[in-house]
Amino acid sequence: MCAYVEFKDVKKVYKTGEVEIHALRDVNFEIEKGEFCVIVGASGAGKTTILNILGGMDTLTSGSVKLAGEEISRLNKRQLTAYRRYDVGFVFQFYNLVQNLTALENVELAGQICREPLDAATVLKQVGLEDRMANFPAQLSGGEQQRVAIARALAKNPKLLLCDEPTGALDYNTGKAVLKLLQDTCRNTGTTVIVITHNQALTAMADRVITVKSGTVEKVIKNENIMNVEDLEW
Amino acid sequence: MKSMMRRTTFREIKNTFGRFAAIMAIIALGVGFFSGLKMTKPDMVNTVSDFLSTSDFYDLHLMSTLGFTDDDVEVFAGEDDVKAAEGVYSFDLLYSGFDENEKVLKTMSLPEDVNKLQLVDGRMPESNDECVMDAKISDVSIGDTIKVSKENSDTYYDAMKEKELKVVGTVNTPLYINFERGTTSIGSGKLLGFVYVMADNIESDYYTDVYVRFNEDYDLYSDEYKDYMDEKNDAWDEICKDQVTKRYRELMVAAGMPADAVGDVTIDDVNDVDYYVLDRNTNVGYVCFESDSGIVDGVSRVFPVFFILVAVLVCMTTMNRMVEEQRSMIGMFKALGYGEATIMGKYMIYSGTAAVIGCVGGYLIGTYVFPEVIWYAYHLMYINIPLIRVVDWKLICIVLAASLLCTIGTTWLSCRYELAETAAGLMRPKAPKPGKRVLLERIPFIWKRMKFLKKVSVRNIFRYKKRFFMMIIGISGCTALLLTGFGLKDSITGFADTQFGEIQVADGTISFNTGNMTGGADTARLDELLGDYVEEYDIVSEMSWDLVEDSGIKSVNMIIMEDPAHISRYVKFKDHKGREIDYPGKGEAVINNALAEQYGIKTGDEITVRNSDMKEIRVKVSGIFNNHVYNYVFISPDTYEEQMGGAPEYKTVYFNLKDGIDAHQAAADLMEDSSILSVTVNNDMKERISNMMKSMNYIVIVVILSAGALAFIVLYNLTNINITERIREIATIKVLGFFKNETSAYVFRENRVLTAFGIVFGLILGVFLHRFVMSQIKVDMVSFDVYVAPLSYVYSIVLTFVFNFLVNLIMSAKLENINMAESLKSVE
Repeated sequence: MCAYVEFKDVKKVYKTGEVEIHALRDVNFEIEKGEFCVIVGASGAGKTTILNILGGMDTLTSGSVKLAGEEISRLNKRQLTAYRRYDVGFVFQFYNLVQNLTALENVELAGQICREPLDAATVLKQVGLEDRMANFPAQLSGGEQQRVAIARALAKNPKLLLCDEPTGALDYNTGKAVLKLLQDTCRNTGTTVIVITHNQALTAMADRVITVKSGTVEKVIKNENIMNVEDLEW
Repeated sequence: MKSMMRRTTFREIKNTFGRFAAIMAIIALGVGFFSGLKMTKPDMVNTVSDFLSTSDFYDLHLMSTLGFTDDDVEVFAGEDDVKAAEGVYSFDLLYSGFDENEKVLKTMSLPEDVNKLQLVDGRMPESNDECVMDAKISDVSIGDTIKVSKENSDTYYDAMKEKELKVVGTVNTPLYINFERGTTSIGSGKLLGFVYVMADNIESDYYTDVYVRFNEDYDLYSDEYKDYMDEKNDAWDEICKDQVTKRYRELMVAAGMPADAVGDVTIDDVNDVDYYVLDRNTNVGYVCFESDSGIVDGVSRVFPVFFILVAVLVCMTTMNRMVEEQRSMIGMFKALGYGEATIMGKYMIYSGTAAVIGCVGGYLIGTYVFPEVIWYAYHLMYINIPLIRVVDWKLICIVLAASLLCTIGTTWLSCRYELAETAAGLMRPKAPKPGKRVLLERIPFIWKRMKFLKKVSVRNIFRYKKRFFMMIIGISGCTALLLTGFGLKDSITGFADTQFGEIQVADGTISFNTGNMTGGADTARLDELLGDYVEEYDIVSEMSWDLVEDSGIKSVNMIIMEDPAHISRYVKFKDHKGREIDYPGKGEAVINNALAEQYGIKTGDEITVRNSDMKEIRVKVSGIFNNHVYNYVFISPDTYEEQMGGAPEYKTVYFNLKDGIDAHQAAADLMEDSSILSVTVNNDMKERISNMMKSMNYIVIVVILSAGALAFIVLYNLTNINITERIREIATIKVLGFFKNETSAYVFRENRVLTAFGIVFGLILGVFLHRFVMSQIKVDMVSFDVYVAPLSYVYSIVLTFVFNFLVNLIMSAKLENINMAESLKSVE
């Protein structure tokens, strides 16, 4: 089956003056459409760098990245922006909501720039925030804010949903609720979801697990026994 | 300070140079502006003072219809305090050797000790057939020859031994520091300039003038000098009179009068014998410079306050931002155990260093540029000598203190709040300011209609209230300055045209030196005298009286027109609304608006004028007319007759020329009549004043440039702070996929709205600022019309938007370069 996401011989070197930092070396992997993929590894292994390159937020030094056959790594700045706009949804560890807008407006913000956005209110209902739509982020709990962020990403109706440590700032139960939301979304809408984490326990819920160590892919495992989030313990 | 702290402080300066530079720049701008303007007058006065002192400019100028001999000069030289007394030959001659026409040059003998010349080019004459020319004359160059024209009267023609003179050099003289050369009674009536020849080349029994220089060293235009000269004037009136009387008696004896009869003769009764003891106040250049150099001073009082306010603003926001950004680091220092003073010290050194560098730089640049530019503008009308600057240590101390207070003071204020928190509190990220509903949202009618992204902007404006408020202040300051600059130009240029084209419409004035004229008896004589030249004329009494008010005494020109019905031929009385005012009737007076404003006189008030004999006239003000030059009180003949018990002395005539008659030619011809003392052509005055105002153009340009710099620094700084504070928000929307122009619009939409608000306030502020500046530019004889052309408003608005646009352009580049991945990682 044709790979939906393809990383081929990707190398990323940061140069500041004379100092060279090799963030990624020979990164190779594939992800199929509709998969729930977890990229796991220790802090500083290079997980976020992979996500950033895949999300069009950063460029690579050499190699190629393809999404649905289209080569991302060759796009110019404006094309990358368009790529992020229409094809990608992001969820960050620290939510990054616009403080000045209500939950509904934050989701609308994303919706305003897409081709076929989902209705903001509907998406917020789907993430369980029907009653909190008119509140500002400062009036929401951490979990609720993260759910708004997910709603924002989902409203864009993206091909790819990228999540960088989405539960990093949340407690155990809230984190589980968020992950459940992501898993359900993946299963129900067929959106390809990629989650970055350093928490090994989460690999059990994934369709595919990519382990990253010292800037390169150590192993890629297709999960035979996928667990539901509710059943996970850590 | 411990070395690590020092190291972090100086690295900080290097790493955040933009911020450091912003503080430096605004301080430099404020200090430069203030110092530059403040030092302009002292520099200019110093330059001229130095020149006049080096050339031993005269203190007294003696003239006598009998002339002076070497003996007279010796006597004068022997008087108290005299440094030097010198007799000179000075008379006007017609010369050929210029392009087509013959020109009149004031011909003078080379001075030795008083009014010494400054050689500009070439060398001084060594023989009788050589001369040096006025450096301002461009018609003739070194090596050319000029010839005394045969058209001159025999007396003067014969007085020059060598009549062909070779120009061997060009000079400047303290007698003419102004470009005006004056009028003459020969030739065309206008003096082209002056020329100096060897004293030996002049054949004359007597000196035409004597110049006296005292051993005084008083500051130019100072009160001490004025007091000193008051004494000398009185004393020398006697001294000169005595000498002239002596000479007169000698001449009588030489003419055949018996020696013993001569002793009783005094010159008081003799009509033809006159002497004059004049001081520097009769020298046009000297007098004009005093008032011209003062124009800039008034302006220097107002603008700096502006810049100081803005400087405080910029420093406050910048340091505030810096301290907030470094919260966690400050907390860390606190946790390590560094004292508050040390931590505060880091920021005070940062801002203090910027202040010192900015202050010094600004002072040096400002005190070089401003006086240079303004002097350049003045040198068109004055002597071309390089500016000699003065150093005012008091000023330097003041600006340095102000700069330090501004920066270190605001830093201290910002730091205090942060440092008051605990270390732990500081290291926790500061909770982002919560979003809040805006008043506008409660009006669903408007709110629902608004486009989404516009709603964001509205909320943003109220969220960052303080900063945006400051942006409005900065912008309105810029617009106000622009409007004032343009308004200055509007009010000042063209006022000479208004004055002499619409108010004082007479072509000229004739002063008679003999007796009293009255319409009846003298008409025939005047008709014959003036008939060839003038279309119409009227007899006038012009006297210098004092207006007596509770708050003071003001010297005014009191004018009485013999035939009041004709006034509109020469002076148009129009009030501030443009309505015509009638000539005052019995017991009434018409005064000019400047006089009325200064003393709070309104129509219907009673005023008192007083002459030097302390006789008073009381009149009721029947009208106040618009006028820009000098101060006037017009009354009617019967008012004077009733209160003074007799008719006034009519010694003046206002006239309008016939078409096609050249004013100066007519003036020269008329001056030949012995009854005429002087003829003034109004056009000359108009030109003199127009030129005086040309220098204002340069000042206007400087103001506009400064306004631009101000706007730029404020906007740049505040936008910069705005962006750095909202960097995560901006990175987020970039990640969401906002294109470059959408991102710019998201951030800068607020800027545009605030600029619009700022402009509105700025225009209002500018009107007041302009009025205030105009009231400060008080030149003694002149009052300006406070006027701002409609087009100036347009220019101010447009230019402010342009500056805003430029800042946004530069900032867009910064937005483009925001590294999304980096910005979104930080905990804060």
